[in-house]
Amino acid sequence: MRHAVIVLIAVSCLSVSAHAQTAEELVNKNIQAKGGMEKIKAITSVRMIGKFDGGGGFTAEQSQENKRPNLVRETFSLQGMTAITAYDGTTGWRIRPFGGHKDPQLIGEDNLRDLLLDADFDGPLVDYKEKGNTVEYLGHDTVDGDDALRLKVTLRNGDIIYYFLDPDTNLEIRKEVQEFIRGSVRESVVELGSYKAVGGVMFPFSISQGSKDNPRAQTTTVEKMEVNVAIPDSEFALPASLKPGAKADAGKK
Amino acid sequence: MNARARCSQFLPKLSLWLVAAWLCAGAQAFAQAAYKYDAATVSGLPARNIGSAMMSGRIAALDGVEQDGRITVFVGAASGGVWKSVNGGTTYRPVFDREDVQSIGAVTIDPSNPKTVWVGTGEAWTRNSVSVGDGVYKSTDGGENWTNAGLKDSERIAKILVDPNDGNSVLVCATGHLWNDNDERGVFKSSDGGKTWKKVLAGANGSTGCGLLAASRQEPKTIYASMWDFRRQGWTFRSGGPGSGLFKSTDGGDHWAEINDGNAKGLPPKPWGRTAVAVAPSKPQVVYANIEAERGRGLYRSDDGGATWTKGDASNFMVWRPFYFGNLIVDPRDENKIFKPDLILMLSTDGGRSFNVVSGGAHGDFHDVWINPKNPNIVIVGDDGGLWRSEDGGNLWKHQLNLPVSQFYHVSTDNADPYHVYGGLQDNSSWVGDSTYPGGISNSRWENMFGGDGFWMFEDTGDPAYIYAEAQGGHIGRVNRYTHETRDIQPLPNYGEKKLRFNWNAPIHMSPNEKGTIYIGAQFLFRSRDHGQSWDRISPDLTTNDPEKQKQEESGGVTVDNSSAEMNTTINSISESPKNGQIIWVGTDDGNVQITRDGAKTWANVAGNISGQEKNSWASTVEASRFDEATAYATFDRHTFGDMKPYAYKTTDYGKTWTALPLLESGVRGYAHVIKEDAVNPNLLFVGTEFGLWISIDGGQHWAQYKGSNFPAAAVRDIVVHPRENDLVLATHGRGIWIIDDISPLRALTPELMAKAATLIPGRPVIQYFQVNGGWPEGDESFSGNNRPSDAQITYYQKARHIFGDLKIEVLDQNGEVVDTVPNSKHRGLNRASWSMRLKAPAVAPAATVLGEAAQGPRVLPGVYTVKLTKGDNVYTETLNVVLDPRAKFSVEDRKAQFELEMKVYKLLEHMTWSVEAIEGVRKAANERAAKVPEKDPLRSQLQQLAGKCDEIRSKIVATKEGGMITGEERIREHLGQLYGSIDGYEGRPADYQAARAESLGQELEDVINDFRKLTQKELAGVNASLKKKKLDAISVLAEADWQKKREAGAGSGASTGMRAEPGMREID
Repeated sequence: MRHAVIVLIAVSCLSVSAHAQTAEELVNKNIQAKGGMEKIKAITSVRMIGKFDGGGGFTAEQSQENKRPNLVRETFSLQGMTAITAYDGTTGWRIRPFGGHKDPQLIGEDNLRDLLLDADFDGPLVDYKEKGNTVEYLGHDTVDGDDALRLKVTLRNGDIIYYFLDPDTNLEIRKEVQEFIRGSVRESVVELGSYKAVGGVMFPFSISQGSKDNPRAQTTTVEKMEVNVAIPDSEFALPASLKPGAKADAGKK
Repeated sequence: MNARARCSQFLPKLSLWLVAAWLCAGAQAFAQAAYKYDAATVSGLPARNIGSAMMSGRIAALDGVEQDGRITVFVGAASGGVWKSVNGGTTYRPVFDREDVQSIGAVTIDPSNPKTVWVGTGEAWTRNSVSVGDGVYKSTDGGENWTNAGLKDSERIAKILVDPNDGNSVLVCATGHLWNDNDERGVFKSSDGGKTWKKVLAGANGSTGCGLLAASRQEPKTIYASMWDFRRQGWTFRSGGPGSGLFKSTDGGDHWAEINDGNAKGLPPKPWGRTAVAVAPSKPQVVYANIEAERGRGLYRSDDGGATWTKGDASNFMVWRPFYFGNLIVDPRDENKIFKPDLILMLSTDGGRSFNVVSGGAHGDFHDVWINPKNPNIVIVGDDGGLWRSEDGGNLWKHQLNLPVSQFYHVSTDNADPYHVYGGLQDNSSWVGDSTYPGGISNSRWENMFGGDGFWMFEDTGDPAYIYAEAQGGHIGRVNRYTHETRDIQPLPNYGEKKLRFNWNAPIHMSPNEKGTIYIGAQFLFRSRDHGQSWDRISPDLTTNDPEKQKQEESGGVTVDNSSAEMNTTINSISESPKNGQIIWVGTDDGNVQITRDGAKTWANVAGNISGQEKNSWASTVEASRFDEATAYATFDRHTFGDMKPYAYKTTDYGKTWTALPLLESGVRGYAHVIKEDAVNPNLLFVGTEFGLWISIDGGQHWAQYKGSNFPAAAVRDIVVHPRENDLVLATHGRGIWIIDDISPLRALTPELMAKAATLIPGRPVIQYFQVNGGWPEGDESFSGNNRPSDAQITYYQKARHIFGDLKIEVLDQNGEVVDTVPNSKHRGLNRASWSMRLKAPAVAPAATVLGEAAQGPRVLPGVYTVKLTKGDNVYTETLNVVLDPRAKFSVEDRKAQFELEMKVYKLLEHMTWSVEAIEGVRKAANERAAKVPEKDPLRSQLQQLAGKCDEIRSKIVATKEGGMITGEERIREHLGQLYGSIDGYEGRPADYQAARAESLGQELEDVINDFRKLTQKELAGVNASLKKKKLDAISVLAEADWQKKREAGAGSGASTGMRAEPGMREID
C-alpha cells in the first residue's frame, strides 16, 4: 500500500510541476533533452539515409542532407531513379524523373512550404525568438490517450506546429502541422520516436506522417545518420538552367 | 471474503493510475508488476468514422464572416461539436474535439476581431433527446484552441452577444438546466473578456433562464432579452410560467426593464412561454418578437424600440413548438426581411405581415440562419438534417455533405461480408450503410429505408431480404431491402384500451435463440414469430403505470406539444438471454427491471433489489449475459432528474442481488446509455455514456476511457460487438457510426500481460481481402468514411512509451526468413502496426519512366507467419495466420498458381534488370576507355562501336524516350511490368495466356541477352587484349550471381538502389 501512495504522490507532483511550466522552460527542456544548445550548435551538417514505407508494400529509399544555415537536399529513389528536392537558401528546385521528365524545375509555393520546414536546421524551437516564432504552452493533452505536453509554435510566416512532448523526457513524440496556403489550411501529423544520439544530439529514427485520421500513413525509418559531414554547397545550388536568364534548354544538373 | 475479494475492495480507489497486481501478490513484486490501466492502455486500437454525412444531423447554431472575399463559417452541432470552414463550406473540420462536451448552443464571432470566437455549450433547442454543455468557451486563435471561460453549470446557452466596439464586453444568454432548477441561468455579462461574469438579469425563479438575446451592431448598448420559464421531465414538458417575459437594456446589459402588456402597447397578456426576439441590424428601432402566449401568440413588430407593437403573422408554423424553433433572423440590410426557422423555413419580405415558405429541398426543422452581410444572397441555414447553403438569397439550397454529425440512437449489424451497419437517427429515419466498400464509404453507400425519427433497426434474421425499422412511438415497419415495400406492423390496442404506451425510443429486440423472432415493448411486451403478421402480448403492464406520468395530452405548457417524446411509463429495454430463451429481461423508463424465467408466463420486478439506486430511474439498458443465464447488467440514466452521473449494476442470480459497478470511481463521465458485454470474454465490458466510451477488462471494476483516433466526447448510445469480425461498432448521437476494428486484443489484457514490458498479442486470422478499387471523385465537399485496413494488423503492448532506440517488428516466413520489417507506433498500452503482406518489390532497371506496376512485391501466400518484436535486448514472437478472403471463389491451390506465376515474372524482371546493368556496364566501360585512347587510334573507334552496339541491344529491353510525354514506347521491361501488374491484381488461378505470355517474354528477353553474350564473346577478347597493351583495365561483364549479391546487399537497381542522384544519373540513358 505504501508504494502505491508514493507513486500516486509522485504522479500528482509531476502533474502540478508540469502545469507550472512556461513555454520557454519547456522549450529549454526540450533542447536540453536533445543534448543541449552547445551540442546542437556544434553540428553544421547532417546526412540521413532511410527507408520509406508508404503502406501497401510500397517502399523506397530516402535521404536528407542539411547544412547550415538553411540548406536542404532530399532524395527519393525508386527503381534506380532518384527524385531530388532541394533548397539553396533562397529558391527551391526539384527533379522528378519518374514520369520521364528529368530536367530540374522550380518548386511552387505549396511544396516549398514543406521544404522550408525541413530547411530550418535546428527546427523552429531553437532560437525561436530570433527566428520570429512564438511559442505558447497549452498544458497537458493526450496522444492516443496518453499524457503529453502541448506547445503551440506559430512560425514567422503564420504556419502553426503543435508539439506534443513526452512529459518524462521532454522530447517531441508528435507534431501537428497547419500550413496556411492561399487562405487554405493544410494539415498533417508527424509522429516521432526511436531517438538516438548522433554527435551528442538526439534525433528521431522513426518518423511517420499522415493525416489525423491516419497519422502513420507513411513512415521513414532512418538507417544511417551522420553529422558534420562535408557537403559542398553545390549539392543544394540552383541548377544553372533555372537561374534567371538561363537558356531554355540549358544544362543539366 | 477471499483474498481476491478483499483486494478488489481497495482497487477502485487506485483506479486509472495504478492498478497494481503487486497489491495482491505482495509488495516485493512491485517493481516488476505495477502498471497503469487507463486511456492509453486501450486507445492504441484505431477507430474509423464511417459517417454518414448524407443524413448528417441537427445544427443548433452558426455564425460566419466574410473577409477578403472568403467566407469563414463556424457551425455548432447539436451534439457533434464545432466545425469550421475557411472556404465558405467546401470543407469543414471539427475544431472542438479536445473539449469535454459536444453539445453546442451558441456560436459568435467577435465582430471587431474574427480571431476571437465564443461558443456556448449545451444546446438550447430543448427537445427530449437534447444533450448538455459545460459553459462558455473562448478561442482567440480563430477556433483552433479553446478555453472554458466559465458558467460551467449553465448546462445550455442560447446566444452570446459581443459588443462590436469592445470585444471584452460579452453577454451570455444562459438558458440553464432543463431538468431541474439551478442558479447559473439568466443573462450574464463579462467586461473583461470572459475572466469574470456577473449575472445582470436573473430569472424570477429557479426554472427561468434566458431564451434569446438580440441587439443591433449599430446600437450595441440597446439589448433585448427574452426570459423563459420552462421545465422538462421524463413524462412532460412545460414551456412558460411566471418567469417568462421580454426585457430591454439600454446600457449594455447592466440594467434591465421588462416590456409587457402593462407598459407597452400591443403586446399580448401573460402568461407567456418562449419568446424569440430579433433587432433589425440596419434599423435598430425595428424589433421583432415571436411570443408564445396563451392568448395572442404570434409575431409582433415594434418600430420604436419596443414601446408599441403590431401583431403580424400567427400562422401554424409561426406559433407551434416555440421551445424548438425560438429564433428569428433579420436581414442585415433590409429591416423588412425576416427568416423564421421552423419545421419549414419561412421568409417575410413585408416586415412580418406575411411569410413565404423557402425551405426548398432542404430537410426541415430549421434552427439558425446566417446571412452574409456583404452579400445577402449567401445564406447558410442549419436544420435537423445538417447544414444548407443558398446562393440566391435563401430560396434554393445545397446540402453540405461534409458534416458527419449524424445522431444515431442505435446500431445493429448483420453477417454479410462485409457486414452492413443498421441504425436509426434523430429526425433522420433509419439507414443501412456499408462497414467497408471499395473506394471508401461515401455518402452514397448509405441507404434510407424508412422515415420519421429513427431508432432500432435490424435485419430480419428469419428472412434477410427484410429489415425491421421504426419511427418514434413504436411505429415499427418491415421493409423489403430491395424494393422498399413497407408494411406497418405496430401492435395495436385491444378493445376498450385507451392507448398502448410506446416510448419515443421504443425498444425492438431480435431473439438471439430463434431466428426471426422479434419483440417490441409498449407498457406490455409483445412478441412475433411470424414477421409481424401477429403479435403475442406476453406480459402484463411491466411499468409502474403511474397515471401522473401519463398526462402527455397536457404536455407542452403554453403551447401543447404531445409528439410522443414525453411518453412515459413504458418499456425501454428488452434482452432475451442468449443462454436460455425462456429468460427475458425488461427495463422500463420509470425504474422497473423485470425478468421472466419461464418464457413470459410469469414476471418478477427485481428493481427493488438494486440497493442504492433511486426509485423510478430510467433503466436505459438491461443486458442479459451471453455467458451465464443468471447474469445480467443494467444501466440507469437519471439525467431527466438533473442527475448526470452514470450508474451500472450487475446481477449473477437472476436479479435477486445486484452489485454496483464503480463507474464514477473510475472517472466515467456522463449519464449511461448502454452497457455491452464482449462476445468472448465475460470480463470485457463496454459502457457508453453521454460523453464517450469506457472499457473495463476486469468485469467492471476499473474503467478506461477510449480516446483513440481523436474520438470526441460524443454520446455513445449503442454498441455492437460484431461476432465474426470482433469489431466494436459504436452508435454516437452526434458524430455518426465509428468502428474499432478487431477489439480481440482487449481480451488479452490481463494483469500479468500488462505488467510485462512489452508483448505481442494474438489477433484474429489475417484475411487477404480482395484488392479492389471503387468510388469516384466527388470533390472536396463530400464526406467519405475510411475502410477496414487491408493490411495485416499486428497488435502489441508496451508498458511504457517507447522513446529511445529501435523498436523493430519483423515478419518471418515458414523458413524463418525475414519477409518484411514493419513500421510501428510507440505508444504506451496497445499499439497497432500494419504489414502489407508483400514481399519486397522486384528490382527494375531504370528507363524512361518508372515501372509503376512493379513498385510493389507479390502478396505472400496464406499460411502461418511469425512476428518478431525486438525492443532493446528483448525479443517477443507471435504467430500470424494469413488466410484467403472467405469470399474467394478460388482455392489456395489457385492462389499458389497465381503466386508462382507472379514470382516467375518477378524473377524475369530481376533477370532483365541484371542484363541491363551488365549491358550498361560494358557500355560505360567502353566509353570510359575510349576517352583515354587517342582520337585516331583504331581502338578508340572499336570501343565506341562496342558502346553503340550495347546501346542498341539495351534499347530492345527498355523504353528510352524521355521528356515526360506519353510516348507509348514499350519494350520487354514495360511488357513484363504490365504482365506482372495484371497477375498481381487478381489472386485466383492465372489465365493460360498470361502463363504463355510470361514464357514468350522470357524467351524474348533471353534472345536479346544472347545477342549481348554473342557481342561480348565476339569482341571483348580482342578489345581487352588491345586495352592491355595500353595498360588500360580490361572490360568485364557483370555476372548475374555478382549482381544478385549486390541486390541482396541493398545496392541493386530496385527499391534498394543507390540513394543519391549521382551526377551521371541522367547519362544512364
